[in-house]
Amino acid sequence: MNLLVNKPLESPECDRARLDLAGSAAFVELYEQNSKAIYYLALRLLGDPQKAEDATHDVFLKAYRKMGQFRGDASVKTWLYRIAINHCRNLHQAWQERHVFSNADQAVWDSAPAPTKSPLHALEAKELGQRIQSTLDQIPTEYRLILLLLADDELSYQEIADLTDQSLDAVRGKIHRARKAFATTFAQTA
Amino acid sequence: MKRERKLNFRPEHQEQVSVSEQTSHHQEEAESAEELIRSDAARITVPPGLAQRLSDSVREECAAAAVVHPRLPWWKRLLK
Repeated sequence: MNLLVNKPLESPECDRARLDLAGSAAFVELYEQNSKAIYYLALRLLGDPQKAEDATHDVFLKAYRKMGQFRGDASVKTWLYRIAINHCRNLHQAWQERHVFSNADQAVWDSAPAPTKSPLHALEAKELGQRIQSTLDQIPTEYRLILLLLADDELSYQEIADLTDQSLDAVRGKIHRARKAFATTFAQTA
Repeated sequence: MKRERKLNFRPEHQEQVSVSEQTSHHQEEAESAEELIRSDAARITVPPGLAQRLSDSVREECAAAAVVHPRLPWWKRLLK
């Protein structure tokens, strides 16, 4: 990932070699290593696969524009998560202002089928996904974000605290409550 | 269990049985939250067309930037 720091976008005059993503090795690497995590976060925060795809696209496009500003203070993944969280938050605010609500539990699984081995397995995966989405939708937004970040093994507690703009102690305290809220709500969705 | 170790911030004077029970309880909670989310995430795939769409957007972005900042001689850019 040091490539990103060493090879920023120098000027608005894009290098012709960068017209093709394949020519930008650092950005391709960035996308390949993080697209799944960013897409999943967007999917569960927004609850809609099409909106999640749009959000992931926008997050990486923003990242491409800002690659030159990335200072390396945080990990690249944390930086991308920060962009994604802010983007999803802005979308939610815009929807609330326009009174648009996403209710796409079914669409999540209709348009984003999992690679499964059997119809029974597919059904189980679909049900699990619906239950998790439903559970996350019902618990407080703050807990939802903490749990989604916590599920990423690569993030430390300190990084979760930074991403949620809270102290480390505050996050530690909320993790237990978030887990409890999830467990209780998940049991009710059975 | 790196994360569980980080979560052991209870007072040390609690009884051993109580601590082990609570740790066990927390582990169950963790399994029912993070583990479920991880298994869910493992099943989700990124839409296959996204990379191409992003590539097209980057290409458009670069083309637009080239129009705004054409490769003109420095003296022509000064007059613009």
